[in-house]
Amino acid sequence: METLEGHARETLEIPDASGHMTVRWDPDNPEEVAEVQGVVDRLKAQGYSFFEAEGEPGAMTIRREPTPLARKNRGPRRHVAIRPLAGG
Amino acid sequence: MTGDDLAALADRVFADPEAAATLEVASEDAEVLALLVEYARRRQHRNNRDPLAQKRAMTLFRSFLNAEQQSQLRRRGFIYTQVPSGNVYRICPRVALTMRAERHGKRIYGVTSYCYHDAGHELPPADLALAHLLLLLADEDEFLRAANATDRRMQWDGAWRRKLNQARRARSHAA
Repeated sequence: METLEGHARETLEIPDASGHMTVRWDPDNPEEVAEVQGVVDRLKAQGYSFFEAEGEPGAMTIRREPTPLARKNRGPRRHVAIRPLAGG
Repeated sequence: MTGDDLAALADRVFADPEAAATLEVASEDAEVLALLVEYARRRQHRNNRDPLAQKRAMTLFRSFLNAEQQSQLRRRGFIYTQVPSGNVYRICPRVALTMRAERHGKRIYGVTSYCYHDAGHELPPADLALAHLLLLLADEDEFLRAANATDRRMQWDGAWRRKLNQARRARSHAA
């Protein structure tokens, strides 16, 4: 999976065995959004859950969201994709 | 199965868990074999893990903490977080241990611990701790429904603590 660079405003962190991978994109750039949408679709098919963090640490609002690209016209946000977990 | 048989079986399992998983054993020993294989697989995953992965995962985990939690993490190795329901959880990113905490008098006790992880045990503990933190803050009910909970309430049980303190005093008198 490729990490997108550029004038990014949003990030998607994907924790994995290597620590984590970060995907950055500019929500105003349709090409980058389409590429990230492909990444998100693949992760959703694998059962990943998405979380959105908005605001500074300490006053951060965490939300669970169906997809990180659903809402538009908002401030910079961070997204985290968590792979399926189970109680053990 | 005798102790020697068990030791021999454990040696085979730890040498090659995948080959050992297909071994044919008596039905009463199948459960022991399955447990050994599971343990050996986890150990193998832990040993094969990228040594820098936990470091990178800790960087990500820290980026979600406020100043007070960062200080807790530096001083004590774990953080406390209060979720919207008012419950307080203690999360240790070094081992991905999450506990619900309660204050009793001057002390804070972990009363229930939760086990919640990925299927292959591939994620570094700090990434799992981040997953716990996010899920607790966003959807505590889902976390409580899905995680495997273990009651640790005896740690703050008054009678149990009195017995413990009595035993400690007796030991120090004897020494």
